[in-house]
Amino acid sequence: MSGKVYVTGIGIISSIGNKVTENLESLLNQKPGISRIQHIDSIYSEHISAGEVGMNNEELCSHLGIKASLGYTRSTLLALVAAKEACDDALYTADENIRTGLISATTVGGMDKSELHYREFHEINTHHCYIATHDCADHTEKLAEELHITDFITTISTACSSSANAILLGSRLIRNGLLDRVLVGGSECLSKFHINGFNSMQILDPNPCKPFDENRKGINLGEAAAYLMLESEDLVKKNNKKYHCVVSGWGNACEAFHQTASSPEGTGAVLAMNKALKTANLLPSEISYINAHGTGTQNNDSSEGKAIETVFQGIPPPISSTKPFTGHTTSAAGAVEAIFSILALQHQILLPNLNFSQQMSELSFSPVTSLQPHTPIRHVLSNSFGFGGNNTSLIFSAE
Amino acid sequence: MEYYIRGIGNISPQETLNSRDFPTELHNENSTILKCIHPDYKDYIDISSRRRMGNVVKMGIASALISLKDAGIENPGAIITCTGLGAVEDTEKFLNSMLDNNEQFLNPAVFIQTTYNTISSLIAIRLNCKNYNSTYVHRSFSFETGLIDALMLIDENEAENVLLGGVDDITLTHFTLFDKLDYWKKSPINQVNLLDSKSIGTIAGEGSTFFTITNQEHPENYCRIKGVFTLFSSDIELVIKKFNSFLQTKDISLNNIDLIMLGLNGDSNFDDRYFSFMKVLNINTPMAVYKHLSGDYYTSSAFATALSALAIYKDEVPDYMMYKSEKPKSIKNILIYNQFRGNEHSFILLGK
Amino acid sequence: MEDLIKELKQEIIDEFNFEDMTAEDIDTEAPLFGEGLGLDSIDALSLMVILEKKYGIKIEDPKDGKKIFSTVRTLAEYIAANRKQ
Repeated sequence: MSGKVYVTGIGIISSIGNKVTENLESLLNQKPGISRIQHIDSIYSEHISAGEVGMNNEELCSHLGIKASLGYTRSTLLALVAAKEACDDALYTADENIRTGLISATTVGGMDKSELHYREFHEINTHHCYIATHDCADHTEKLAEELHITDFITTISTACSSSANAILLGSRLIRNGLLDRVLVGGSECLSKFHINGFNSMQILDPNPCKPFDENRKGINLGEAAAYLMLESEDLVKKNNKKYHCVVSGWGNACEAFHQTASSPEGTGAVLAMNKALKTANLLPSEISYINAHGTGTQNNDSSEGKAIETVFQGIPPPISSTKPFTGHTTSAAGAVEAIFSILALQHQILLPNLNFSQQMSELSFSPVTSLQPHTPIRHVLSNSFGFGGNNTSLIFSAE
Repeated sequence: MEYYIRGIGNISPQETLNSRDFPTELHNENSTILKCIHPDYKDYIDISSRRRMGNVVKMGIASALISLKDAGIENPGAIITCTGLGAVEDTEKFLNSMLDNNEQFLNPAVFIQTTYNTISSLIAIRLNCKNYNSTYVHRSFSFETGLIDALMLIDENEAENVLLGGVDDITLTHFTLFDKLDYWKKSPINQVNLLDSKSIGTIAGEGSTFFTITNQEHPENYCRIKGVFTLFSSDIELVIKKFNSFLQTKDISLNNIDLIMLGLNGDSNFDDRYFSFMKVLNINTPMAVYKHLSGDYYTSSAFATALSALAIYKDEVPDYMMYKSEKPKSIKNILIYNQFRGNEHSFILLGK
Repeated sequence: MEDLIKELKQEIIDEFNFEDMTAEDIDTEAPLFGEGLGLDSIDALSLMVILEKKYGIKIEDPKDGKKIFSTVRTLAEYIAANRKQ
């Protein structure tokens, strides 16, 4: 088991842009993508804030050159946009002699169409094409067909750490020599189902979210898709390929504490971060920046903050949550924030934690509040924590 | 690295609760849906934990506990759950309630159950297991890709023992919806005649099968896991090419395979793919089948793996599993080949 | 009040799936959360839904729930004083 795992391509569509360069521009201009909901007919659309992708489904289809939109869920369309960008960036072509995989992540899958046509499925026998698109695997198979990936395809669903686990699995498949390259990431569209689920838990902030703020009131949901092409050291060297960075560390641990809540001291988060540092063979002091999970809920930010204090022995590196830009894109968040971490690394910038005004009384640190260019950054730690105490930490390094 | 199956917990439409014996009598339903024979969950889960759980969660936890007990292992180094549909019953409940009440008065307790990794998390909470935890949700690849992960964890020394399971339940709504896509037989059929039915569709099934996989040799191990691979393609030539190179990397020839377990499900639209595979490779190996026992569901290859492991352990295979061939004289290697609707192919190789 | 108490106990048994339990098994004065019946924070949210749906009472701040939900009796008294349906 040896060899580095290189990131050779990235692609993203989120509420702050339809491709990587647009996302970067919004980050640099500190321009969030949070607003009232346009594309979903919910009684809460006018009352909550969310990170919605600008294009509607018809526009996504025409952007993708898909003539008949029937049979495509929004998660699939978003996934296709981001995955194709990542493949183009990596100069990907299908090649039977290169063992290629695809690992995608989602939580609602095709729920956007199911909730719209559920009654019709039963009553008037229409829109049957959306019965089989409901599950988590459908968008992955549509990607695999489009990109001609056959060797290894799977879908992971571990709530809000899903796509971080897709990156973790892909990195391990390459490190263990089972694949030469693998497209990893996740896609999640906004749905009435998710809005109502999180609303019933009373953790939606109707206004723009304020992670790590003393007066934080909850999350803003978001939708996005983000994918990374990972390639083995052999393949990169053989083809003298350009790359963005390496995935140097990963760690997954389960908190085994509560079905939805995190423990006050963040035990699972500590385990995940320490495992990632160990895989990367790095000391905590070598981490230049943490892209936190930082959802803006009372529970997460206090638990994650405590865990960071533990791992970094009270002196953490600069930290920010970028969820005020995009909203919490749940299953896609791990991949979205992996790309933001990579952009921070490549452009040597610390990304700001927007909407922050008052330090949390129980924490000894405040997040970075404004964009800080020209900051030497070598290793970025990205956290993604999900329901069920599913905690995953990833580390991206310049080399 | 060597990998062994050390413990099994198997809840299925057959009497499989006793992990180390084949069911003596076959449940023989005339139906289009096969439901599980459930243990008394009070024996496994206390009321305060049980009260929010749907069937699929209870099945998952109980079979996980049975598997660990069978293995004599208390706390595994990792937990991996594989499920095509997750807590589909709760998802339907929350969706119905949302549509019926115009998005009001929704119960958060139902919503949190709908998360696909609920089963894996609740097993972790039950065992207080803070190790690696993941959930695979990719149709008929769910179990196989989870198995690939489990074996890697052992290679990486991340875990000595991995708790890995496949679990799905069938709800009436899911059945009714997929009936519209011709997934199921249009009229009830005796399950033992499923594979001779010559009509489209299959019988819907469900089950939860958990394994304790270990790198330690032990006299009570069922069998060795020699390899697993998946392929997403409808091109049978590519399947054969990849299958041959799989055998090559495992350094085993077709002649050394004593029994081939086929995922035949009686659907005339798809079963011929298995036969072309056998024909092209000129395979005369004795054949066994399992979907007439469990019904078809996304993680049914976990059920097939349990039966195959037991066949190697006991060096016998019951008559009711054989398909149009003589029983093998001895059983050292079993190949499981499952496919889903012609484009998801998976192979699991088990050995003595 | 006694009728409301009995109704609430049944409601709790049904909503939270305490199979094999009857209204008599729940102590009116015992804590609903933690020790006692063992309800948790998710159940608190479900209780708020029941209050809104069945009695037309909306609790705006989840923190107020703590006092109201302390026992079946406190819950019944709060409902009796504030119910709109």
